[in-house]
Amino acid sequence: MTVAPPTARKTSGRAIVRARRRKAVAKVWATYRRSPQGMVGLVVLVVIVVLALAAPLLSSSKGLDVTYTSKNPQFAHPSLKFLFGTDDLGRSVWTLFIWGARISLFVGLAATIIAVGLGAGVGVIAGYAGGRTEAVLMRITEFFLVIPFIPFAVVLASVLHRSLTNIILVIGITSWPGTARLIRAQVLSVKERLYVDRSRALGAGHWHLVSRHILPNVMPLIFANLTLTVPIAILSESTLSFLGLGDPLRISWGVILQNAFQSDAVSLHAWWYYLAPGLGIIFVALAFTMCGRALEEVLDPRLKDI
Amino acid sequence: MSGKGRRLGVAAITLGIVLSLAAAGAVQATAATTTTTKGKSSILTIGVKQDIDSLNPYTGVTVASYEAWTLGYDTLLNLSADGLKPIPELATNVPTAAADGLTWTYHLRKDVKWSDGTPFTADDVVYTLKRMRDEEWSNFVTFVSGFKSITAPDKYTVVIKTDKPDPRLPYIPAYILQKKQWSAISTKDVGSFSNNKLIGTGPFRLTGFKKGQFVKFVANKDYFGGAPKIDGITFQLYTNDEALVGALKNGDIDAANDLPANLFKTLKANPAMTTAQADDGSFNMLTMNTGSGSVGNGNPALKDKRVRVAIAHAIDKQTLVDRVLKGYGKVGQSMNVALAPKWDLVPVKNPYKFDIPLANKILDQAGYKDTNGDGVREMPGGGQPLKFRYDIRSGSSLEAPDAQFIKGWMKQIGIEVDVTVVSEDQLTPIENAGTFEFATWAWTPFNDPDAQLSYLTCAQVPKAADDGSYNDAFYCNPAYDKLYNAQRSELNETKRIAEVKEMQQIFYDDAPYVVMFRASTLQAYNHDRFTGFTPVPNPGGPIMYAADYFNYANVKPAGGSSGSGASTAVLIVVGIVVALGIIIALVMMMTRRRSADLRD
Amino acid sequence: MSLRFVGRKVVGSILSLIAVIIFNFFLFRIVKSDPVGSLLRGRNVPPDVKARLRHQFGLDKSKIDQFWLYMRQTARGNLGVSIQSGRPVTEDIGNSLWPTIWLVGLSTVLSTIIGLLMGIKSAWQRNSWFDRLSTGVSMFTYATPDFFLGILLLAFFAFTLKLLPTGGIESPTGSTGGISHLIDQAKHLALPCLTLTIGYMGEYAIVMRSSLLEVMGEDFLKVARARGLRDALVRRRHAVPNAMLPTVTLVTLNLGFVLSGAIAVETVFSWPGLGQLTETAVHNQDFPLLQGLFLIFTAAVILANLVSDLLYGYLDPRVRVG
Repeated sequence: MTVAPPTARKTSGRAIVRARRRKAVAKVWATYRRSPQGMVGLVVLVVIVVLALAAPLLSSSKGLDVTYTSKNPQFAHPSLKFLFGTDDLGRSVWTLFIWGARISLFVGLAATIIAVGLGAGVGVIAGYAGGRTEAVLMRITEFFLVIPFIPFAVVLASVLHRSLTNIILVIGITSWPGTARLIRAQVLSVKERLYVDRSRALGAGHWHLVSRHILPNVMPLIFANLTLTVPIAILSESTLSFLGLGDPLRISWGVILQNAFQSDAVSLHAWWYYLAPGLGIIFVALAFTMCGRALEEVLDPRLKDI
Repeated sequence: MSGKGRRLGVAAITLGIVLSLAAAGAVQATAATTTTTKGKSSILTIGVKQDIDSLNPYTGVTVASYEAWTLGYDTLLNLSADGLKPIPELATNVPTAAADGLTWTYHLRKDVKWSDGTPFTADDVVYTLKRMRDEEWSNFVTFVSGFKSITAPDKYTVVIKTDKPDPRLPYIPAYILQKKQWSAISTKDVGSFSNNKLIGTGPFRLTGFKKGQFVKFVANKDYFGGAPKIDGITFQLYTNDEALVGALKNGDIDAANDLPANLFKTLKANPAMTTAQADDGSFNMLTMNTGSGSVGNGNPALKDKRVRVAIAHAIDKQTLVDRVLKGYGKVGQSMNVALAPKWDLVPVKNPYKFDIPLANKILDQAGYKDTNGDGVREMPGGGQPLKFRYDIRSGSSLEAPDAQFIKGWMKQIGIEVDVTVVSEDQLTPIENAGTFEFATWAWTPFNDPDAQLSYLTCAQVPKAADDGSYNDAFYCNPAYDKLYNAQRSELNETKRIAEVKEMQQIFYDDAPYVVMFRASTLQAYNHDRFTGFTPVPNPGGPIMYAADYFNYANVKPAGGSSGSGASTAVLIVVGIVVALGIIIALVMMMTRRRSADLRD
Repeated sequence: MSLRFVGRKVVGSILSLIAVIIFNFFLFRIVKSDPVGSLLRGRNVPPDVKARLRHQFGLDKSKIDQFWLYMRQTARGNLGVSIQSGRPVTEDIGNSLWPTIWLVGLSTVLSTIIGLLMGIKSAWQRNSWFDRLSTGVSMFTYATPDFFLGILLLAFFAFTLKLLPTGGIESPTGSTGGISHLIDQAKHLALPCLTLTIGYMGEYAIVMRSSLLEVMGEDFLKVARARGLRDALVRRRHAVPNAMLPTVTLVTLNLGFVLSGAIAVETVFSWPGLGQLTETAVHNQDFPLLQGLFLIFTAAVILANLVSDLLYGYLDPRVRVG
């Protein structure tokens, strides 16, 4: 082992790695940019994320407080004053829509991070460790794979109370097994590559192998998987909220849809009440899916033809 | 036609066969459960949103179950539609207490038969009341637990002795069951008994019950009180409002209970519909944990009456009625203790007006100031902030909007609330343990005020978590209790009414509840099909689902025809033909394309 | 397909089922310590009545005893008694099972047929207008929450055009037999079935398309074409059957999830199936019933997994050998 390696070499080494990564990212971006569906998805996403982040600028959060809207008309048609009309309590659906985007996106991302984090962790450990650890972990994965998420969420929401945290947990807990299987398969194939063997032969530790060789190689896959899990999480959130298992005081798109259905917007022909949040869900889910598919194509050239 | 085309044609036909097989199967699956009904024209079909939980009076608790028992069973006395006064039913007289104030003698009708043909006697009455008392049937135990003895000196007389004077008598809201049927059900099995072949003496007879779908009754043409003027009643379950209203408008059903406010407006405008905004006596309240007793950890601020009064001033009941109830209801005053209006304290003295500045002033003067500038007041002299836990029920469609309003108003008077949605059975233990500040719930009082009044006595303040006490506000006022005990054995009704009203005023002034509103039950029926619904109580009460046969006693078919849309059937046939046409066209198109493929 | 392969799969499924049954017990008993609270549904009763109810439902026994009792009962097919109805859970579930099976079954058949046809055509005419349209539609329906699709169809066909009923399985006043009754039921089935069909066909189309494209890249097809076989024949004889494998597997696998996935759609259309039963069970906090439903939904997924594995083994010669 070397004693106090010269710092200059260290930084330059890192710089090389960094430069290589930057180059790789630039290459990925160059390919990604050529995918029309990827770009459309990205633009839609950026628009919606900006809308959600700029919500306080676009419409005061006081518009969510029913005591401030109690003089507004109920079920008003879309107009200049109320861009998307009003709901059954006189709130502007536009205000609900952009503030709801925040909650929906937040739940989607948070649940995805839990799911992909858990899935990637289990997948990497199982794939790398092999043997009994792998067998046990994959058995657990298979067990969670057969738990249907709506009934599970229904049961959890019944035994716990209704809250955003629970919704996130439920979606996170039920969505990770697919990722785990995928990542494990990738880890297995990376592990067999020559340079990993060489590294191992040179006496590299587990941590070194995982962090320097395995993770960088599965990272793109994890990232693509992340992008493809978000739409599932957002769709799941909307379904759970629609079934009344969410927190009715934290307005998400799913909660708006539930309120609309419960207040009979359908038979009152108040289409503006449910159309905006519904389309919001579709567009966000679609955009993430398009980005994810484009990313997959970029990262896995074999798929390009398909 | 190429071979491929033929193959696809075969596929299309197969698809058609699969479709029709599936439909036929669906018919089979449900046809088995449908009981035959003779002459559908005079069967009243009522669309409802609540299913019967059980037809067994030991188990069932839903209003739907009570409605079924009301049709199938009788009680000793019934309540008149006008003023809810006791009138004869199975008994021929309305007894008064003997000189001792404890003994009540009921003479029974001799012409009553059970639906299995056997005669009804005093044995059935004695058996039913004793069993309900001894096994503590939760629906009836409060009415019969004070019966020291229940005897039948002869075949058609029943004598009841109570342990102390009971002003709720002579009316006993207990359905009389058949001794022969129930003797076969042991105490061990009574909880799991389905009672799906209900044997009763009532004006209607149960003919079919399919959970999640319907319950069907036919008229008892030999009913001693006079045969119903319709052939039967079917309660059809709908799980969502849209479907319920759609069915009423399309003529699938003749009447509907528990309609949603938004759609009710559209029905009012419909010339075929008669609508009713009924007061069923229930009220919705914000309960505050006033912290008397030893259990719980409620915020000490709510022990202070001034804080509760300030909160009462900060709740705009009219806005709740307008926005949450869409105008269908009355603003609440004091708690409503009984169904008949004579018990109601209306109006209350010194009502709390909605006045945010006044509420703020009261809190300022009482020393609850926001000392650290975070928008939330603290206890006098600093310390614990006025942050309240607020639990609402997931099963109620009103409480989430209620909570949003109350949260907004509380913010305006410097009180922060943290709303949690829990299920009803989760809220009960929370309330019992006193680990809350705010909660919303609703009460529906009985015909007699005693039960509702008893819930808020000191004796009902929980002494240990989950001990089954009713006093959810942890409210204890000796003046209230004293009046409660007085009315409990007061057989003079005028005096008793005065005492009950005084209790309601005390309760209002102390403000452990803010009674937000009394929601109307919205009902409608198609008067081209049936007429003659009677509100109970009359006027103002529900025209169905009042747990009283008088709702339906005078219902009869209207002259109008019940022509179910033959035209829509034609339309559907046309639709199917068109759909098949499209499929065939598609198949042809694909085939042609394929031959085009072959060419290149 | 060797007997050993079948045996291994069956044993695996049984193990999964046992794990689920155990999980089911802990989910309800451990998280929720006193189900008697839900027995009373918010009614307050004296402590002695509560004690009696606890005894009646065996809740006064130790957790271990409760667990063995539960396992023994479940093994005998006894899922307990519904708190709400007082009837055996199996009976309540049995009553609601058929409407769901019909709805899910029919829509699965339809969505599979349409999805496969769409996928085949797309793959064969890659980058044609049809392919673009079909892929676009498929992705769109994949991104649409099926209950939202249901709401749109309900609003359009039932409330605007007034063509179809707004919900339920049949009209209460309809006749009990004959062709008009059949039409009545078909009308009620139409919208929920259409919703689920559209909801799933896109996914199947996408999978069919990509697996067909993959197959078409393989050597044997090139050989077949080189032998001068016509495109249509190549497609029918060689490409499609091979590409069907992953799609059929996916459809079967999905079937288990569709059963519970239909809950929200059943809610929209008041369909008296397992979804509605679940909703009322939640509303009434009927834990024995919820527990039974959870078991049924999970068992459906396990069964679907098994069937799909066996099907795969049967259809794919590589697995058959192994």
